[in-house]
Amino acid sequence: MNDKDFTSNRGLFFFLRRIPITIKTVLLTVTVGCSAWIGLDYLESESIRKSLNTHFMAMLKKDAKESQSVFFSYINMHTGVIKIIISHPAINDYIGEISKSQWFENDNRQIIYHADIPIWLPNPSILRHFFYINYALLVDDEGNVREVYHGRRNKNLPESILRPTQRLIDLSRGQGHMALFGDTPYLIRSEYIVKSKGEKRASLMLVSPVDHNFFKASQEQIAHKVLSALVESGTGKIVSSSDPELLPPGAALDTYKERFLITGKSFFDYGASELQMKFVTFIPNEEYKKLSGSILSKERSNRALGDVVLIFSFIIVMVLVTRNVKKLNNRVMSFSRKLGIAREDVVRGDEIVMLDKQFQYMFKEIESTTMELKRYSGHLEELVRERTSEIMEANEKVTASLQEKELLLSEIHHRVKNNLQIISSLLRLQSRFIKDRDIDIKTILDDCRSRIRSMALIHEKLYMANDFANIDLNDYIKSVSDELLRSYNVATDKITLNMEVEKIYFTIDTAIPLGLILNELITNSIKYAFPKDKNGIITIQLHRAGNERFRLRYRDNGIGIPDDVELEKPKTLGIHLIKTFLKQLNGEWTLRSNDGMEVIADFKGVKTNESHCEA
Amino acid sequence: MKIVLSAVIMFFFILSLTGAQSNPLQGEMFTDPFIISEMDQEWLERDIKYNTWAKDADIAVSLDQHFYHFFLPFIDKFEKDNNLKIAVEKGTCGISGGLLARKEIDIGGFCCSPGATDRLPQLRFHTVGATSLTILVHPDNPVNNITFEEAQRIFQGKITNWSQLAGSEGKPEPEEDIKVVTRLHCKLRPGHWRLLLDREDLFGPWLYEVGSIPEVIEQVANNRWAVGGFESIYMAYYQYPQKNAPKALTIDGYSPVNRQHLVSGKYPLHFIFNITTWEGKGLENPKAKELADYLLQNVKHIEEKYNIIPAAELMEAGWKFKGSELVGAPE
Repeated sequence: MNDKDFTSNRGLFFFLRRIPITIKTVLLTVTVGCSAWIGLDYLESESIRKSLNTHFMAMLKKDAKESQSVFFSYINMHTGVIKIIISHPAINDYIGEISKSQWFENDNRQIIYHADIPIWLPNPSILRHFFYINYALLVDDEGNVREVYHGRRNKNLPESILRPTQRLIDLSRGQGHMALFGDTPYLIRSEYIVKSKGEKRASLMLVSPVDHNFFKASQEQIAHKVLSALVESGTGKIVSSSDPELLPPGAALDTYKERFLITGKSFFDYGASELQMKFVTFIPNEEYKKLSGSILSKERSNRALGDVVLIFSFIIVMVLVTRNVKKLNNRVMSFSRKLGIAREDVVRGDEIVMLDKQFQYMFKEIESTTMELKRYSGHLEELVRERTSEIMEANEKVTASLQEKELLLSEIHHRVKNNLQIISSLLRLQSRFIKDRDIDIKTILDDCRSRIRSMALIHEKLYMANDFANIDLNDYIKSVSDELLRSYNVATDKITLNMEVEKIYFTIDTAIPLGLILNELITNSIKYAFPKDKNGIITIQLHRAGNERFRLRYRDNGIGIPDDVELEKPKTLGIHLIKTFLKQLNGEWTLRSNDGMEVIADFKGVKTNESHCEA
Repeated sequence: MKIVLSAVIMFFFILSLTGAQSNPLQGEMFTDPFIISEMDQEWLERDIKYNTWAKDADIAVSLDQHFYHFFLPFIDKFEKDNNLKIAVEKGTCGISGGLLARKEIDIGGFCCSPGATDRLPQLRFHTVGATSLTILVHPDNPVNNITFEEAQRIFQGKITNWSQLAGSEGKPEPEEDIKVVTRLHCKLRPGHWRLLLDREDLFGPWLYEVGSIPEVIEQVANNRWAVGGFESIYMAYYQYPQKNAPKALTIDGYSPVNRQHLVSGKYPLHFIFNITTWEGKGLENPKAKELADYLLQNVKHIEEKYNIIPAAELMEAGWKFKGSELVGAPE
C-alpha cells in the first residue's frame, strides 16, 4: 500500500474523510431516510392508487353494467310498446277505416305531421306508462310514410327514414334495429298492422334518435347516474352520448381517459345493430382522485411522522455507536504510539477511516515483521538442520566409537576375568600341590584365590551385563557369597545367607573394594565362625546412610570374635585388607561380638545414576 | 313444358332445402338461398369502399365474435405469408350484415345462417362449420338431461319449477323455481335459439332477457336454479370462464360436446358459421377470395376446444349444400 493512501489530501474522498463520522452518519441517515420516504411514498402511493382504482373500477363496473343493462332494457322496451300499440283498437280501427281517411285524398302523398297525440295512438293515460315516444310513423302498404307523430320534437327526420326501404322495415321488424342516419344513430322498431286474415295493410315505425335525451330517458330508473355514450369501435369516436356538452359526438374516446374512468365496453351482441358500436360508460374520476388524494395525504403524513421517529432513533443509535468507534480509535492510536508505529500524519476526521488507515498501517507493519520473522525462522531452521545433521553425524561416530569401546571394554573385562580365573585356577592347582603340613600356605593360597575370584566376578558381571560402569550390588554380593560357599565346600544347609541389600548400583571402583571386604568377612565366617557341627546364619545388610554414604552391616551368629583381635594393629591379612579397602572408600568400621560377629562399616560409595541403570 | 317442369323441381328442391320443421314451435333452420334482398340502383352500382378503420388495408374483414378467435391466427398467418395488410373487425352478425350492406368490407363473418335481409345481390355465403348450442345450468343443479319438449316448455314458461321435470334415475328433481335466462339475438336470422322456439313471443313472460353472452353465463354460474340458453361451448367455457363453470345439459340424451351427436343432427341446437365473399365488378377482391378459400381450407385445423364441425364433415354426413353454403339438414 502506498503511503499516499494514508495522507492523500485531494479530491472528494479527502473531503469526506475530513468529516467526523457522527456528522456523516447523521447526514447519511437523514438523506437515506428522506430518500426512502420519497421512494416508499411513490411505491405506496402507486399501490394505494392501484388498489383504490381496482376497488373503484369494480364498483363502477357494477354501475356501468347496470347502466348498460338498463340501456338494453330500454331498447327492448320498444318491442313491447310497439306490440301493445299495434294490438290496441285505436290503430286497428284507424287503419280499418283508412279508405275514408285523407291518405288517399292526398295524391301527392304529403306526410301528415302530428304534434299532438293522433287518434291511432293510445290515449295519453296509457302512453305515459311507456317510455316517451319520439316519433311514430304510419307507413302504408307500399312503404310510403303517411303520418308522423313527432310530439315535442321537430319534424326533421332523415330522408332515409321518411322514405324507408323495404329492407329497413324488414330489419326493424321483430327487433330493435340501430342504424346511422347522417351522423346520428337511430333506433327503429317496426311492426306490420295486419288485417284479420294476415294481410299487411300498413306498418307502424317507432323511431328514436339515440341522442342525449334517449340516454337520459333510458337511465331514469338508476339512482347512480353515469355518463354513457355510444362509441364507434372502428374509429373510437363518440357517436352520441348522455351529455353532449361533456361528451360531444365526434370526440375521440381516448381524450377522456384522464378525466374519466371508462368502463363497460360491450357489443350489442344480440345482433340487432348494424353499427360497430360499443356502449361505454364514463365515470368522472374527480371523486376517486379526491378520495385517493385524501387517503394518500393522511398516509403520507403518518409515514412522515414514522420516518422522523425512525430517523431520530437511528441517529441516537448511530451517535452511541460512533462514540464507541471514537474510543476504539483512541485506544488503537494509543496502542500504536506505544509500539512506535502510530501514523500521526493520517488525515484527521472520520474516525473509522482513521481506524482503518491505522489498522492498515499496523497490518503492514505486522506483515513486514512477519515476513522478517519468517525469513529468520527459515534461516534458523536451516541452521538447526545443519547442526542437527552435524550432531547426528557426530553422534553416529560417537555411537560407533562407543560400541567399539564397549566391545573393547567387554573384551578387556572378559580377559581380566579370564586372567583372574587363570590366576585363581593356578592358585588352586598350586594349592593342590601343597602338602598337608603346609596347610597355612594352602589356606593363604585359597584365600588369595577367593579374593581373585571375587575380583573376577566383578569383571564377569560387567561384561555379562554389557554395562561397564554399573554393578548391581545385590546380584554381585549374592554371586560372591555363593562362590565362596561353593569354593569352601559349605553344604547348602549349613550356612544360611540372609541378604537385605538395597537396589544400588556402584561403579567398579566401589564395587571391587566392597566385594573384597565382603569376601574377607564371608571367608572369615565360613572358616571360623561355625564349628563343624554348628549351622550358621550370615546376614548382610546394605543401605543408604546419607549423602553418598552407605552402611554395610555384616553379621554372623557364629562363635564371635576372639579376644586378641586388635583392629588398630591387625595381625591378620583379612582385617588389614578390610581396613585398607575401607580406607579407599573413605570409610570407617566397627567390629564387635554380638551373638556372633558383627561388622558395621560406613563408607562413601560412588554410585551411578540408578535410573539409567535400572533402565 | 320445360319451364313448368323446372319450376316444379325447383319448388320441391327449395322445400327440401328450407327444411320445414316437424315441431310447430320450431323455427326454420335456413332461409331460402334463392331469395335475395332487393337493393336500389345506387347500391347496385356502388363499389366496395373501406371505412376509416380499414383505411389502406388490402382486405377488410368483419368477423362475428364466435369465430373471431379461431380465425384470427389463420388471418395473421395469411397476412404475413402474403405480405398483406388485413383489417379485421370483431363484431356480431348484425355488424357484419351492416358493413356488407354498406359495402365496407370484403368478407363478413356470421355466427348464424343468413337471414333474408343478409342475402344481398352478388354476395355469396360459404359455410365454415357448425357448433352446438348449449342449454346451461348451474354445476350444482342435479339435472343433467332434459327432453327437447321439456326444453321448449321451460323456455315457454310452461314448466316453471324443476320438480315438474320427469326426473332422472327415478329421483325427483328439486322443488325450486326455474329462472330462465337468454339472449334473443339475431331474431331475423334462422337457426340458433329459433331451433327451439321460433319467435320471441313463444318465450314465457318470466324470461329474463339479457343483452350479452357473458351475462347469460354469469347468471347461470351465479344462480343455482337458473337455466340459460343458448351459447356455444367455447363461449361458456373458454371465452367467459366462470368460477362455477355452468353445466351443459344433454337433450334427449344427446350431448352438445359429442361431435357425432351434432353431425348426425340428433343434438338439435346449433350455430352455423358462414363467411361471405363478393362476386362482380367493383366488389370482387381476388386477395379476399384467396383469404376466404384459405380460411375454409383450414377449418379442419381449428383447435378442438372451439368444438367446430367443419362444413366438409357435415356435407359427408348428408347435410345439404348449395355451392359451399349449407342450406339444409340431413334427412
